[in-house]
Amino acid sequence: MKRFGLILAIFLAGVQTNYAQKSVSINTNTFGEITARHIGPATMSGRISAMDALASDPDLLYVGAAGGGVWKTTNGGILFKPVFDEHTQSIGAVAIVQSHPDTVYVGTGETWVRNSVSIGDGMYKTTDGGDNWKNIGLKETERISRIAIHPENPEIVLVAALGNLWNANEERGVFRTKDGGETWEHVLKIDENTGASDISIDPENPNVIYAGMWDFRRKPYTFRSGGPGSGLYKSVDGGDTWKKLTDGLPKSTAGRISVVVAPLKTSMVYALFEAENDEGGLYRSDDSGNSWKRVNKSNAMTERPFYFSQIYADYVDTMRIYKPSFNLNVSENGGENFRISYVGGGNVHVDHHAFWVGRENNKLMYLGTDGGVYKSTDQGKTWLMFRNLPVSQFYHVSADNQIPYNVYGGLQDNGSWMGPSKSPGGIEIGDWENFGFGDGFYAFADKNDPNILYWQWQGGNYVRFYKNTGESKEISPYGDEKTGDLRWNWNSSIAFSPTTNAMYVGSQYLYKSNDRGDSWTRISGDLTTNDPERLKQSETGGITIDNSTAENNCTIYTIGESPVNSNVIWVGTDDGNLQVSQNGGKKWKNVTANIPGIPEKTWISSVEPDKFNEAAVYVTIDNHREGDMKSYVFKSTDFGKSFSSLSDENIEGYCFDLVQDFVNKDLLFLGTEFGLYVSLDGGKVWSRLKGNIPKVAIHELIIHPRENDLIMATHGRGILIIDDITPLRALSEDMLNEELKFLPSRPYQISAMGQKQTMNGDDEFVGRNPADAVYITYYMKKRHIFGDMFMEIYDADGNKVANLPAGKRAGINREAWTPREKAPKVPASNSLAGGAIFGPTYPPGEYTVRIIKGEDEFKGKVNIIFDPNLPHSVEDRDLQLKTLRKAYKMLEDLAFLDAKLVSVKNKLDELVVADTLKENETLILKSLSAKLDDLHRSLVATKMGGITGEEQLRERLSDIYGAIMRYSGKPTQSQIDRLVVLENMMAKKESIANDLLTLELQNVNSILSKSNITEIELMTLEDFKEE
Amino acid sequence: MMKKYLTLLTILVFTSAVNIFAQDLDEILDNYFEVVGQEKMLEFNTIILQGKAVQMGMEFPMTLTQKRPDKARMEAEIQGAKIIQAYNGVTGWSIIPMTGSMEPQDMGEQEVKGMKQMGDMDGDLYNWKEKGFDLTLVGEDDMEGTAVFKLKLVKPDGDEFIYFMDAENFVVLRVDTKIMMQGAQIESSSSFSNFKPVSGVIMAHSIEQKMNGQVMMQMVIDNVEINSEVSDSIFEKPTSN
Repeated sequence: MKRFGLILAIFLAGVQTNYAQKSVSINTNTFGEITARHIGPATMSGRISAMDALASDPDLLYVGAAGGGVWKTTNGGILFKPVFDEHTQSIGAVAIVQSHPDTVYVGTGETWVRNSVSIGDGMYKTTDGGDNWKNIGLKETERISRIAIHPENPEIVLVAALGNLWNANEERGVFRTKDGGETWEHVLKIDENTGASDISIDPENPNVIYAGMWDFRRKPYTFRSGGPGSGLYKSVDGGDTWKKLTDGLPKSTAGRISVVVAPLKTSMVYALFEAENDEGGLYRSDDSGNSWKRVNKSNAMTERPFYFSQIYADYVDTMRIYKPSFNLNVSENGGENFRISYVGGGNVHVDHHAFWVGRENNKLMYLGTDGGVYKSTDQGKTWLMFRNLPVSQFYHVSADNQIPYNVYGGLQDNGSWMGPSKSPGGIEIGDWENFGFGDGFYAFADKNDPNILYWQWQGGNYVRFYKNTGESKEISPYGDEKTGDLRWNWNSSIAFSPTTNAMYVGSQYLYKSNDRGDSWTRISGDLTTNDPERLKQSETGGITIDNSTAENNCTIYTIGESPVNSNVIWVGTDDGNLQVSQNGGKKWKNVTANIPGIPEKTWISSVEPDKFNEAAVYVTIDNHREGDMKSYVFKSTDFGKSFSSLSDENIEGYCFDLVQDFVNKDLLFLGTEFGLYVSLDGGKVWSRLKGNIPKVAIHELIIHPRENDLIMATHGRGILIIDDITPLRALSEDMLNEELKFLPSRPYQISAMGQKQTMNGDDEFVGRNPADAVYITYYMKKRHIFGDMFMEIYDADGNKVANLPAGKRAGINREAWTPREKAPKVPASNSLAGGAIFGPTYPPGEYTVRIIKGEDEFKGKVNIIFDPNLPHSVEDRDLQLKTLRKAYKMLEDLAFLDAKLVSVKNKLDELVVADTLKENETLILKSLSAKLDDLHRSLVATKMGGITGEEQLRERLSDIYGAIMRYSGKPTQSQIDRLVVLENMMAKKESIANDLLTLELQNVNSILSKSNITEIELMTLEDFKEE
Repeated sequence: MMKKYLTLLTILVFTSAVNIFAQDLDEILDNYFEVVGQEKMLEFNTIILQGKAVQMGMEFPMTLTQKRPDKARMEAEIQGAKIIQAYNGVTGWSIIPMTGSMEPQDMGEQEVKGMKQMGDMDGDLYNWKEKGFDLTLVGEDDMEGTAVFKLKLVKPDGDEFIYFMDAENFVVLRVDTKIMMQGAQIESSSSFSNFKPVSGVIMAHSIEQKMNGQVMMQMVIDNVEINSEVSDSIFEKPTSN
C-alpha cells in the first residue's frame, strides 16, 4: 500500500512539473525583432575556400567561403543567396550530387590553414537544394579538404578530413559512407597528427582512389607543414584497404599533397608534393599511380603549399591541367610547362583556393580567390567579378561622428576600407572606399579631423593618411639600443584614449603619442613573456619556410585606457600576459596569475576597461590556437587583484571581444567565433542574439556614442549593424513575464537622405539602410493570436494621428511607423497624382502610443525631432508646414468640389438614359451634364493612356504640393506665389460650379419634382469624408 | 483500495502519456478543423472581407470577395482609382488604371494560381488528398519564440507551402512559399493573427506579407460579411464597350 502511495506521489510530482506555469527567462527569442543589417562590402569580397557547379548546367553554383558560409546561385552568379546561415560559416569543401543536384554535401572547416582560420564541425547534407541542412557527422574533424562522390552510386561518398589544426586528434584521414551519410567508416587513418589533404576517385574505375595525407600542426607562434605521416596513398577496392605509393615520389619528409586523376585518361594521375631536400613539385604517373616522375618544380608548383596545394584536370583537353596559386597557372602538356592563364586581362585578386572548369565547355571557369569569385568565359584570359558576395573578413571596426557615420576597418588580404552606415538607395559598392593595402586590421578616423585616417598593414606598419591629398605618412616607432628590434603582432595593436588625444601602439613595449604618431614615448618595459621558444619565426613553416609576420608572437595584442581615469591602462599580450598600470605607464603589474582556470600563456584577445568603475575591467581570452576552444570571459573590479569568470554554458565559440554599454553598465555584448551574445545582468547570463546574424565570427564590436547602434566586425560577412540598442537597455529579467511592455527607442529624426539614380544591374550587393520610420518597440511574453490587437498613436494634444497593425510575436517587436499624415484626398482619376501620394510628416514632439490587445490597453511614448544637422530655422520649417497645409487643403477642397460635380453629372446621365422625361426637358438635363463634364475636365486630367502629359488643376496642384513637401525647409517664393495663382484659378472654378449647382440644378430639380422623380441632392462634406 | 489506486495510476499514466507522444498529421488536422470551425465554414457560400492594406505608411481600402467553389475578386482603391483583380474559376483578369488603360488584362499563369488559392475559402488543407495535394508533418519547431507544428503541402505542379500551425491553439500562424515573379524565385511569407470568430468560424483579421524577408504589406480586416448576395458576374471579365 505504502509503495503504491509513493509511486503515486512521484507520478503526481512529475505531472505537476509538466503543468507548472512556464516562467520565462532570457533566451534568444527574447530579442525578437532586434536584427542586424548587413552593409558589406562586397566589392572587396573575402576568401573563397571551396566551390562546386553542376556540370550539365553550370549556372548552378555553390560557393563556400572561408568564414562566410555557403552561397548559391542559379543564374550563373547574377544573384547569390546565402543558404547556410544557421550553421558554422567556415567551409572546407562543397560537392553537388551531379545526378541529383538538390542533394549537396558540405564539409565545414577551411583547410587553407593560415593563422587566422576558423573551424568547422563536420559534414552537412541538403536534399532540397539548400533550404535545409542536416549535420551528418564527423563533428570532431574541424576541417574537410575534399568530398568525392562515387560517379555511379551517390550514396557512396569519400571525405578527406584534414583534422584539427592546433592539436592532435583521432578523427582525421579518409572517411567513407555507403548510405548517403547515415554512417561513416574511418577507412584510412595514419595517426593523430596526419589528416587527408586531398582525395580523387578514378571516374572510370571508381574502386581506384588516391588520397594525399598531410602531417602538420600550428601553434600560436609557429607552423609546421610536413612530417612522417605525410604521403600519397592508393586503394583499389573502393577504400577498404590502402597502400602508400613511393616509386618515383619524394623520399624525404613530405608536407601537403594534392592529387587528381585525369578524367579523360585515367591512367594519368597528378600529385603535387611539398617535400624536403628540394624534392617538391608536380609529379605525374602514366600507369595509374604505380610509378611516378616529377614533371615540374617551378615556383608556381612549390609556392606556399599549405595555402596553394591544389591541382585540377580538364575535361575536354586530355593534357590540360590547372594549378590555382598566387595566380592561375595552366599547362597544356601534362604539367611540363605552365603559363599564367591571363591574356589581356587578369585583374583578379591573387591567392586562389577554389576552381571549377566547365565539363563540356572548358572555356567556362569559376575562380575562388582571397577576394571573391570570378568567372571567365574565354578559357581564363579575362574575368568578370561577382560583386554580390559580401563575405569580407574584418579584423576590427571603428566609426566616426559624421552624419551619417562612417565605419572603418581592415580586411584580411584586402587593405583598409571605409563605408557609410547609410546611403541613398542603400549602401552600394561605390559607397565603399579603399585607403590602405596589404592585410588590413585597425583603421580609424581622427577624432578631431575627419580628413585624417589611420590604418596599418601587417606586422607593425602604422600609417597616417590624408584624404584630401592622398598622402600617407608612416608613423611606426622604431627600436633603439635599449629596446632592440621591436616585435609586432601581425594584427598590431593600437588604441586611442577615450578622453584625451593620446594614441597607443604596442610592440612588446607600449608606446604613447600625443601628436598623432609623429613622436612616441615608450611607457613600459617588455610586457610579454619574451619566451625564446616563441620567437623562432624565421623557422616557421616546416618544410617550406613561410615567415610573413603572421606567426609573430610575444607582442602586445590589445590595449585599453580607462574612460574613467586616463592613468589606468590595461594591456593584453598574445603570449598570455595581462598587465595593468595605474599611473600612466610608470609602473606595471602583471595580474595574469590572478585569473582562475586558464592555461599558461593563453592569448588575451581583448581588454575592455569598465566605463563606470576605474578599478574594473572585462577580459576575453582566446586559447583556440592551442586547440582549446573554451569561451573565456573574466571580470575584475579591483585592478586585477582578483577575477571572476563570466562565462556560461550558453556561450558557444572562443571569445574575441566584449563591449560594455555606456549607459547601462550591466548590458554587455560579446563577440565569439560563433556569433553575438548579449548579457543583461553584467555577465551572469548570456543569450545569443540571432536576428539576421549568422554563426559568423565576430572579431570586434563597438557601440556608436551618438546613434546607439551596435556595429560588428565579422570575419566573413562584412560589417553588421544593429540599429539603436536603446530598447535592450531597458530589458531585464524581471520584466520578461509581462504581457506587454514598452521599450524606449532613440528619437526619430526627420531628416533628408537625398536621392540617387543608379541602375548598376542586379549583380551588385547593396546593403540595407535603416528604416526611415519611428520605431515603436515593445516586448511581449507570448505571441498574440486571438482577438484584436492594434496600435494607435496620438500627438501631444491628444489627437489620433495613426492607426497601425501591431507586431504580434513573442519577444521584442519593432513596429515601424512612417510618421506621415494621410495623403490628401485628390479628385478621383485613373492617373496617379504622383506629387500627392504622401501626406506631410508629423511635426516634432512627443507622441503617445496606445496598444489595444484584447481587453487590455498599454501605453508608451516615442519622440520625433528634427535632424540637427539640417540648416533650417524654426521659422523656415513653420513656413514650410503652413504652405504645405494650404496646398493640402486646396487639394481636398478640389476633391470635394469635383466629387460633387461628378455625382450630379452621373445622376443626370442616369436620368437621361432612363428617358422618362419630355424631349426638351431631357435636353436641359443633357446640357447641365455637359457643362458639368466640361468643368470636371478642366479640373482633372481625363485622357487615357500611359504618358498623356495632360495637366489640369488637379495635376498642377499635386505637383506644387509635392515640390513643397519634398524640401523640409522654406519653400521658394515662386512656389508660394504659384499657390496663390492656383487659388485664384480654383476660386474661378468654384464660382462656375456654384452657378451650375445652384441655379441650374434648381431648375433641373423643379423639372424632376414635377414628374415625381426624386430631386438630385448635393453631396455633403460628411458624405464626401466617408467615401 | 488497491483497485482505486491502480485506476488512478492508470488514468494518470494515460493523461501524461497523451502529452508525451507526438501528435500525428491526422490528429493535428482534426484539431485544426475543429478549432477554426470548418464545419461552419462549409455553410458559407460567400465571404466579403473589407479592410485596408497598409504599405509604406500609405493606406488603401481593400475588399476581397470569395464565392464557392473557387471564385475570387480583390479590389483596392488608390487615390480614387480602383484596382481590380478577379478570377471566375477558370480565367483571371485585372484592371490596373495606373498602367494607363481601363481595359481588363488577362492574368498570367502565376497570378491565376494565386487567385485560385484565394478563391478556395476552405483553404488548401481541407480535403487536401482529394485535391491531389501531398501533405506531410515535418515536425515540431520554434517559430519566433512560439511552438509550432510544421506541415509541408506540395501541389501537383510542384509548388510547395510550409504551414506553421500553433502547437497549442492549432491556428495557422504563417504560410511560406516560393513564388515566381517575372522569372525570379521570391520567398513569400504570410503571417496571420488577430483571430476572431465570425459566425462560428475563426478567421484572421490581420495579415502581414513578407517577400524575401522584407515586410511588403499588412492587411487589416475591419468587417466580414457572410453569405450576402454576390452575383457571378462580378468575377467575369467585363466585355469591352
